[in-house]
Amino acid sequence: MELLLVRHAAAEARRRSRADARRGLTEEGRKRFRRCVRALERMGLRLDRIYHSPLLRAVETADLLAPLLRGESVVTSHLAAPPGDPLLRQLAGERAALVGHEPYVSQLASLLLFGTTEHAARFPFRKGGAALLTGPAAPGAMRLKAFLDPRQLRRLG
Amino acid sequence: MKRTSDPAPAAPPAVLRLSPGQLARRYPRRPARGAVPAWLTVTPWLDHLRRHLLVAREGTNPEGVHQMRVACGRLLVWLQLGGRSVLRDDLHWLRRGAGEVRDLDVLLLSSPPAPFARWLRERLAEKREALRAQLDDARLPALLEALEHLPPLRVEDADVAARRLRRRARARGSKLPTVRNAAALHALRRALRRLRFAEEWRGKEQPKRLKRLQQTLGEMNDGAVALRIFDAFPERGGLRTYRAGLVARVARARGEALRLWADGGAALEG
Repeated sequence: MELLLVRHAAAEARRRSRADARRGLTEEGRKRFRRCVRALERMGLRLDRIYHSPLLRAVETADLLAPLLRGESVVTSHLAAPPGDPLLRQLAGERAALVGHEPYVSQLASLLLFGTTEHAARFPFRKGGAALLTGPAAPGAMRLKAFLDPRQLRRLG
Repeated sequence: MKRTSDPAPAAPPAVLRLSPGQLARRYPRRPARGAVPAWLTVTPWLDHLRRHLLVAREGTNPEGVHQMRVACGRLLVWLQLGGRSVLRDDLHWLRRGAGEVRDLDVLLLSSPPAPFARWLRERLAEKREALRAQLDDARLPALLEALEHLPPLRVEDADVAARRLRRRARARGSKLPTVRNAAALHALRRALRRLRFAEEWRGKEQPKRLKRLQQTLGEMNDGAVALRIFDAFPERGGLRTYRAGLVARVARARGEALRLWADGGAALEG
């Protein structure tokens, strides 16, 4: 299986008057992430699942990834929480994108590559950044194929 | 309708653990018709969905499942009006489970022959159990949460999307004179339903001729679903007359739908 771990694109700043879960993407964040998606499309990436957290910024990022989708999108609260078995058990398909938040996306990369979340700091996802992993979706069972900085991706898009 | 021997339901998940009184206080409004706000918020039909999830889970009143499906349909169109792709699959997932129960409920309400009704009740108990499991799935609270966070739609954007739905319905209908098969009629039924929901969101009424057409297409679909379910009934051999009645019902509704489209399809222009 191939997993594309994605951190949501740049979102509106935190404000007291608005719940964190309702922070959407900024216009600039949207524009930049569209270029990242174009780059992924040029690289021939197609997805048969998109899993995303229910927080608005992840929903909107997943929406921008939708042109790559040839299957189903699934909303899951497990992507807005520390990663673990409930999330991994849920995964299906051959090539899926997982759109979530920091520090959980870094922890998930560490868990899948090393079997522990301890090495999360080695995978600093920028907003709109992604990592492509391959292998069985189990702790310590995957290999890192690419760690994609959003700036590099935008250059390709 | 006769009660089936479902096992006692387990405690509902936290998202559904509200008494009907608490639900009514928390979600007091019914979806409004006729008003045209500047922004279209998801709230009215999201509330409607929440209100009926608990009833659907209890499984004693068919209206719960029906209203749950009704709300899912409106929410799907709302997402479409906003140009959103994600969350639609999650709503389809929810509606599919409810649809299987609803189809059996509708068929049982039509007083089918006793042996078929017994078989339907057994299947209904299984499907209700499956729906209950679905309503306890972690995907449901995540979906409700995600919908709740979505910002309202601008009416201008909804208008553009509604025009697209109208064009699509017209295109589906324009094929009818040459392609008169069931698939073309079902495609038209779905396109008209989406258009009707879009008009509802925008506070607009549909012409009466189109309403009548949709009603007839709905009857045709109910008949086709009944026929499909009946054809899976192992002891159908002894009920040939009943089957012939279903076939005639579908054919009648189909002929009527084609006639109504010929008379009233022009209402989609403009």
